[in-house]
Amino acid sequence: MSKTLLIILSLMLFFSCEKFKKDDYNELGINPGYGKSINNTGKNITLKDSLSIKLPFSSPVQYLDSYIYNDSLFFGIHNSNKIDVFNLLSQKHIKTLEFNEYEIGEGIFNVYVKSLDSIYITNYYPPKIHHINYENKLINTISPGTLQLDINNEKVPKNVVNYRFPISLSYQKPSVNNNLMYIAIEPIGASKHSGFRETQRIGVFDLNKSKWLKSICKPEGIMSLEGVFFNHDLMNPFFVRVEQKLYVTYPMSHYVYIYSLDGDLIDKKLVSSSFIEETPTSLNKNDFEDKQKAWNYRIQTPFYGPLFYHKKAGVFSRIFHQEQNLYKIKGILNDGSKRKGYVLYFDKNLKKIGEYEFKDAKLGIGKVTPFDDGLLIGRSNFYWENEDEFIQKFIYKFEKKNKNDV
Amino acid sequence: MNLFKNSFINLKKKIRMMFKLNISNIKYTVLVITFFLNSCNKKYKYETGVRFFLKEEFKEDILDGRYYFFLLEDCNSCQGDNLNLNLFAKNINFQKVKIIIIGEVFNDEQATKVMQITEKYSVFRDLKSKIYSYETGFGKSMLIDFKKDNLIHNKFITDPLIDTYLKDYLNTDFKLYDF
Repeated sequence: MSKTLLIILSLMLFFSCEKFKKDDYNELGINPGYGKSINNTGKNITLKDSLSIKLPFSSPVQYLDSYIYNDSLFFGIHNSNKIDVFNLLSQKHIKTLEFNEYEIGEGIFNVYVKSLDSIYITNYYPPKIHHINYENKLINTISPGTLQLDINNEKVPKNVVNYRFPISLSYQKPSVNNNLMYIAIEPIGASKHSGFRETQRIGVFDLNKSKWLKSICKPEGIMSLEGVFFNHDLMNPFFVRVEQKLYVTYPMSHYVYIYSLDGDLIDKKLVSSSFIEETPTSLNKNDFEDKQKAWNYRIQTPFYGPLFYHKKAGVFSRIFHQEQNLYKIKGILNDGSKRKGYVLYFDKNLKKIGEYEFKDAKLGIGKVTPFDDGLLIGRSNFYWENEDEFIQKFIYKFEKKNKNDV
Repeated sequence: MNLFKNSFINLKKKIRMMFKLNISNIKYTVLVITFFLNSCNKKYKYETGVRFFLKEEFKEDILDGRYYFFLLEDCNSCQGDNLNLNLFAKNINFQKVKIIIIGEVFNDEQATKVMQITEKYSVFRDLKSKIYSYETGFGKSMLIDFKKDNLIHNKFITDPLIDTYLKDYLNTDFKLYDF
């Protein structure tokens, strides 16, 4: 009798624990904006121009990371030590900044242009920050030794830098305000260890004193739950700094978390697509052992791109990539060439004002760079026609809606 | 109502029976479970995808010998591809190994080593990483042995195993294996 009682009690305990976790996931994963139509009275997003730029010899069709400065100069990282610069107005390649690999280390992956005198580029691992200028001069390098952070990471010895500057989905770049650099950090193993749910994911580095000031913004919402795992590139935060606030989003979360520059959580707002009912069930820790299982999940899952702020238009935008089938044809996995994408856009107060659909993946993943009043978009590689053509060629702008627009 | 009551009594009896299993029964159960687990392990979950990939991309219709898959990465300190490149560039005694190199070379050193390997072994280059379009289970490095078109052994090779397990395994004459 006592054995039976023990089994019943164990089962009750087991199911109650599971239910508790599942309820949390369901609650945070559910999208209150699902199916809700928008009364768009404000702005439209419109295709304004299609660029025709010939690439210099040996430049890639697609850049690892890019930044548009002053709505005209496009900086694109390639080959891990070169940055091509294009003038989008004259539609010409202007110059290529090139750095000695011995000086910059194992390749640069992110670029942020504060001014032509202050261009910041970062390495993935070991993490380094380089201050360069438009004249191809390396002004300063902040070394991994200086960048050591006290993160408890059992996978890496304490005297080794135990985090990276994430490069996932190509838009985790630094931002500088009053000599303080805000930059996303990714503890090594963060996608596989639940312990990092408590670790702050944005570092604040004092460029004057050349030292870390603090780290802020521990994962919130669905990303804060124990036992919830997504593919590596879906675990890192995106952030955008607008005036005195940081807006932090995650690829698998419907929300934006708003912080003060000191790292205090001020607000949480819904910035979701109306085409997703809930975040799909996450992977579990064991799924990572089966690489195929994890890859199949990545192919199928819907996800969000970074949140951009377009100052001139007073608009926030976010790209949503819709769910797709695992297979393209029998036995061949889907390459995303038909995956639907949407640009979701919001007013200054993050009230949704529009959802623009790109049919048949004419919106490329990782090939979107923001303007102050729009987006520069490249189609997925399925649609590329010429090897020597700059593929991020479609200029979309946010504009006031005409009375006659439907 | 009586039917429900009887089923409930039967269920209770069954549960009681389960807890009255004697030692020999438990041993038997363990043996049966082990047998099933072992027989499951023998079949590689993604064999069909591997066959499809090798057939579609490299016209390998009948598979025979060892197939070793590894990835080239854009990173000087990525241990795995350096260890793989060094192992095959230096050794010439490995028998019946066909090497599938995924991705493009990123520097001159990698290019030289790939060239050395190509001179010694049968090498298939998957320059556009098409392997990810097939369900092969490939993550980093993977060894799969076929004998007369039958999959007889497979193992994922983590970085520490490259210079130890893999080297020893490949040094053993393929014909000696009696699978």
